[in-house]
Amino acid sequence: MKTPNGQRILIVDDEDTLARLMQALLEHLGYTVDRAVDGEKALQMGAQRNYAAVICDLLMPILNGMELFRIWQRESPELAQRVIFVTGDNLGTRTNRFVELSGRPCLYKPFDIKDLTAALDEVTRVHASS
Amino acid sequence: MTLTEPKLEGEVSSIQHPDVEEPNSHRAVADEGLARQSWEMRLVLLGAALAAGCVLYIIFPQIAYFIALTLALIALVAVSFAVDTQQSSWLIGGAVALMHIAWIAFALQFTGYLNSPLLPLLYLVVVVYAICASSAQTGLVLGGAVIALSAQALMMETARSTVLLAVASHSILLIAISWIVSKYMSRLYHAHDTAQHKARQYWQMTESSDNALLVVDPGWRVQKANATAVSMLGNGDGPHLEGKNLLELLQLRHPEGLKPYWDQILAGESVSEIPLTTTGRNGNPHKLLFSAVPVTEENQVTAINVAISDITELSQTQQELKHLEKFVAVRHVLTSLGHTLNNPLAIIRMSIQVAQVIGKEPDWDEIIRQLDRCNATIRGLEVYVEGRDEGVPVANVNEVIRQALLLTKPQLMMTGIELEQDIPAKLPLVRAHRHSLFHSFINVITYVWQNMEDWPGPRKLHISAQRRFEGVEIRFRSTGPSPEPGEIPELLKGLEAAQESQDKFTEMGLPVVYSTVRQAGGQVLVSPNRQESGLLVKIILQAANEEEVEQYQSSHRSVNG
Repeated sequence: MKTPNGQRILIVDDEDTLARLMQALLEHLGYTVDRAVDGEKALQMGAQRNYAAVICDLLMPILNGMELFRIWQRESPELAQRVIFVTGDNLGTRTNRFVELSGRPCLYKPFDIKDLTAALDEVTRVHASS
Repeated sequence: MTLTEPKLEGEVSSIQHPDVEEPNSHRAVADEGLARQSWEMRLVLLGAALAAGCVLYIIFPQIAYFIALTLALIALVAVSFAVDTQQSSWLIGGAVALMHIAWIAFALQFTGYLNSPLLPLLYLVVVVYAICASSAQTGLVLGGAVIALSAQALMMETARSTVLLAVASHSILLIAISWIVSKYMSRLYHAHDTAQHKARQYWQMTESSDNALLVVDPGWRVQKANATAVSMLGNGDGPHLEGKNLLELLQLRHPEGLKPYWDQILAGESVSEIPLTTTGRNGNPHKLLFSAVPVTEENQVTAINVAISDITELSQTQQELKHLEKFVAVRHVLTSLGHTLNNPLAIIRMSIQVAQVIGKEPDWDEIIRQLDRCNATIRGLEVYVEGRDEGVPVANVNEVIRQALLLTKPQLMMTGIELEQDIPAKLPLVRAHRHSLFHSFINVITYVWQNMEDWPGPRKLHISAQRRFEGVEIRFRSTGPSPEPGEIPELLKGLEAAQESQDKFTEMGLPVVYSTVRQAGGQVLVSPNRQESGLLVKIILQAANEEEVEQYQSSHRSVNG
């Protein structure tokens, strides 16, 4: 795994415990991590800082992951290309359809941390080379 | 998704053939009666014309051409028989007018000359006008002309004037008769033509109807049947059903239970959409809806108009739709359940893996909390899959709403539905089985979720509850498409029909809500959401009485203790 060199990651998840665990892991791996509890907060943070990757839950109150992604596709297409979705909705056809159409990687809960770091690695590598 | 069930047995309303509003086939029977009457009337007219001709010949034997005119009149009436339309009344009217002209011509010839030559000319002009004008005007104008002629005759004070007066008085009589006859004939022919036209139109339409339409006599023998009836009831030995007994042709599976309906029809009362099960040609059961309108004459049933719809396919489709409803609701619940379980599982897995990577002890308390969370979800599922209601029929609305939302909230959120709750912390216990009520709430939420799924506008579900008189009212106010005014009665009809469902604990969809709540003595009201476009479902439940509350609490104490 390539050293992250303090690359900034945004975790968007209303599951506070899971978000904290991911933050602890990623900080341990050398990333700088910010957290947002819903899509609206993430929208504000995405406008203020440049993130190497965004780990985004799909199901959240106020503004969910799908709506957030659509806004970024319109207003910040580069940021939209750095999104990694996470979801517990493994059976939902609507979710699957959305993920397929978005073309973004998606981790289905409960996912392995190896899958998380691999997805992060891929997204940040593309980001670093662009 | 709602299903429209056939009307329940015992419900009676006026028959309306599906494809034809008016007239019903009893018009055809009335039409025949009318035709018979009109022929009688024509014979009377013919006889009257002949009698008048004979009388006139006796009085004025020297007038040969008068006889010729009378014959012409008879010919005209005869032609009217052949024409057999409204025109025939005009022909008869024309014949009567010709008779007037004959009388005038006769009077002129007999008197030789008049004081003023313009007067008979004027009289002829008004007669011609009267013939061309409408019947009411004809009567008035001819009457006026006769009065003028009589006045002229009186002024002359000669033997000729006596003849003129005789002509005038006879003309008055003829005018009166012709006016009355023309009025009556006009009405008769108009009614006859209309009935005949509509009857023809009706039978033309019945031939292309998807419903079997028949006319049977009081002995249930088929008098007339359309192509659908032949196809539905014929046994393949020929196209004709005439003379066969309809009740035998139907091959009813349980004929004994239907006798009251047959008696009712023969007593002159209509029946509508009686569900029948018959044995089809292939031996399989067929589901039919039977409607009938008896035709009565002088309080006697002379014929019965019957409409039969084959709903076998519809019934099968309804069953398939019910399965689809079940599937949709189960999918909804399972998807939500998966999501609800996956979050704590992800936390447990992440806790252990992160601890391994970092080299720390996992947070065991957190892991136990997440396990408890999984357990609570599974307990909620247990309520869902319970097969029957047991114990005291008392439920805690707060608890049931919480459990229903546990299984449905993730899916609502995933569809972008904003959920708002306004539920007091402690509502009174209500008289309903927990399991059934839980199913009802899941079904209402699934129903409004489906209603909003493709709605482009704001998606909101507002669940509120409040005490209401001696009970609790729970409101599910959702955005989305509003039902059309005509859809609400259909929806409620579907709900009422489902009340009889034997499959009430496994069936999904809104009808089961109605059934469950009504059995608990409550009410379900469905209406458009008046605040914004959408639907409002209100469930009103009775509060449990003190004795029931005590039983409920003691049973809970024993379970928990």
